Amino acid sequence: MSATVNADSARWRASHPRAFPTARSRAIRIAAIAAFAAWFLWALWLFDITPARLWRGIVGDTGCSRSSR
Amino acid sequence: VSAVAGNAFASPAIERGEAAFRAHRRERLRITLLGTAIFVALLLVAAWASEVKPASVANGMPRVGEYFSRILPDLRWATLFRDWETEGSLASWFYRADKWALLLLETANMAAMATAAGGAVALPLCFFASRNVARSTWSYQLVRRGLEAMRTVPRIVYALILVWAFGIGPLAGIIAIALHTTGALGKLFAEVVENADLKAWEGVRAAGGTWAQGARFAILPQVAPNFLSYLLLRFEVNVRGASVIGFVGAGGIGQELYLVIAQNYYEEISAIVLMIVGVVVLIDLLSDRLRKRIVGEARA
Repeated sequence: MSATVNADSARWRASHPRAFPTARSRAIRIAAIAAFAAWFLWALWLFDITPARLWRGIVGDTGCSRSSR
Repeated sequence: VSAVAGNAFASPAIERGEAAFRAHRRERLRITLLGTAIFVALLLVAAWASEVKPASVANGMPRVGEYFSRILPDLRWATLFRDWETEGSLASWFYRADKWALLLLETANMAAMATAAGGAVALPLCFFASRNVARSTWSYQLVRRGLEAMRTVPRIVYALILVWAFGIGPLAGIIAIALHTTGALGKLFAEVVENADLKAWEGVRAAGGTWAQGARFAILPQVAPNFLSYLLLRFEVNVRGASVIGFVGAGGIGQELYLVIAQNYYEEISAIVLMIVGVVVLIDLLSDRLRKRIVGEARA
């Protein structure tokens, strides 16, 4: 079964090379996703965004809402 | 036409046609004049209701000019390129450029975070808000109205509420912009999905694919370039929004701008505004090029 699928896949790859991603395009995509993830984590750290802080804001245990109680 | 009318060979049919044409023109003129009169009347009523008086505008205009002349720096050619301690130099005008550049970077980051967060929420919601692929009329109405509500409230109002909840700083600004972005992008994404070709969708569904698989494998590949284009467009809008939202304490360069305006540091106002304009123009140009490239590649 697996051998048949692999043979089919190889045949399709040979006949329609542009329909399948090349190793280079796959590497570029992975690098872009990694760069985005790195930037996103850095921005979370930069703005001090943590689940605890978000939760405190939602339940009103931070900022002006805390001092007004 | 009048030459034909004056012609001895003019037939009654031509005369009737001319008369009808003149009557049509008179009617159009009458409608145009009536429309203009109604528009002017409404404009006057609106001006009266909002207390716009020509005298106040005339009195205020010179003061606007005076303010602009105050915020302009006193640059002198002889000392233009000297160090920051020399009065009249460019360096003394932008003496805190390093701090402002960091704040502008923070503003751009706030906009990018808010765009990413808003886009991430809008992406699944748009499929529920598209008439052609919505799961049910109820979910369609609920999500559509929800998105409308999200984008109806101005960002600055969200920011005021969120500063109260999360405290002064960029987090409140990011969430405020993200909420508005979700509403705006959700609607735009849904309209793209409504214009998608449903043949692939029907194929996936007929082959036993679930609703989510249909959205992922039949619709998303078709609409992804347009989604990305709208995301970049929204990023441009959010950079401008993030520059202003700091006025209510939500971080970024807007907070610094509010401080220098409040403390009447006139030359710093013009320096910051110039830097904001420069960054916004730069981001607009880059994003525009990127958007054209993405859409161009998708069409190719």
